[in-house]
Amino acid sequence: MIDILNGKTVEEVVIGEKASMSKTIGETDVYMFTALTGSLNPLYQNEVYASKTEYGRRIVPELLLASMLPATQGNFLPGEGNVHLKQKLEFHKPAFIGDTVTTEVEIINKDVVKNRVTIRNTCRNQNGEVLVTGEAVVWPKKNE
Amino acid sequence: MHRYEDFHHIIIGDKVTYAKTMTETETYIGVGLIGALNPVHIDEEYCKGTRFKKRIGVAMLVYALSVSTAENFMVGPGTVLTSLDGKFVAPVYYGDTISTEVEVVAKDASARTVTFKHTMTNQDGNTVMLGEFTLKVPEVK
Repeated sequence: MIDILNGKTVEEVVIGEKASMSKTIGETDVYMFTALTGSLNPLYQNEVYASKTEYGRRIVPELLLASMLPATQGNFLPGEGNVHLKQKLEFHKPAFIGDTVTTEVEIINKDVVKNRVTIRNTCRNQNGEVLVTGEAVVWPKKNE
Repeated sequence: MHRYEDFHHIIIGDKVTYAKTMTETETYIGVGLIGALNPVHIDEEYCKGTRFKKRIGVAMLVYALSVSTAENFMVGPGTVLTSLDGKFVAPVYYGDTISTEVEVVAKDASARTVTFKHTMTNQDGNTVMLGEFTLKVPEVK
């Protein structure tokens, strides 16, 4: 059996280490996410309105894409038990319903004394276009 | 669709507050949507051994409350998020009532952007999250 409880400590993570995750974003994801977040945004849920904007069709909520980054960090790197402390993000292009979004998280700095890790964040679509870039700071788990 | 297409009614220093009780349900649906398996959100037994002792919310999902507040009550529906910068200073537990105060700090009518700062506090008055984000209003033909 594979144990997913394999989170790394600050001592164990290596600068330059990467992880990624992909998901095809469904219409269901978008509609459930807007309901969860109390969004009335017609760019997410009104095809006629969205068709009159520069995007041409409904787009995926930016924070749904953004949330895939801490999901990647929690699943794979540094993995289970890490706690999210800071996040900076820039949204360059939208994702559309049906796009397959791939995250990439890369360890770029660590502070063993403060138990902090800095992670570079990227989301791309199926054509390799960069949708989101940013940086996160997390506390990796500690082996007490 | 936008109440403030020309941004004349968006005034720097204007504030809006909104509060919501953050539930287990939202986190459980949210982690399903984003594919998050971190036990700090979903495993009560695991959490007994962590510094927080209980399951905690997903920071980015809590952050969304501020963005929705700014959009729904200040700019009007139909914005895109262009950037954010957030600090998550204390955990949000299931059942916590989180209040956000969103304030306009900058606007640029030619770029069609409005920048907000926000502070989120729990029912005990403790700050859980703070930061800044920028919304853009795309043109409609």
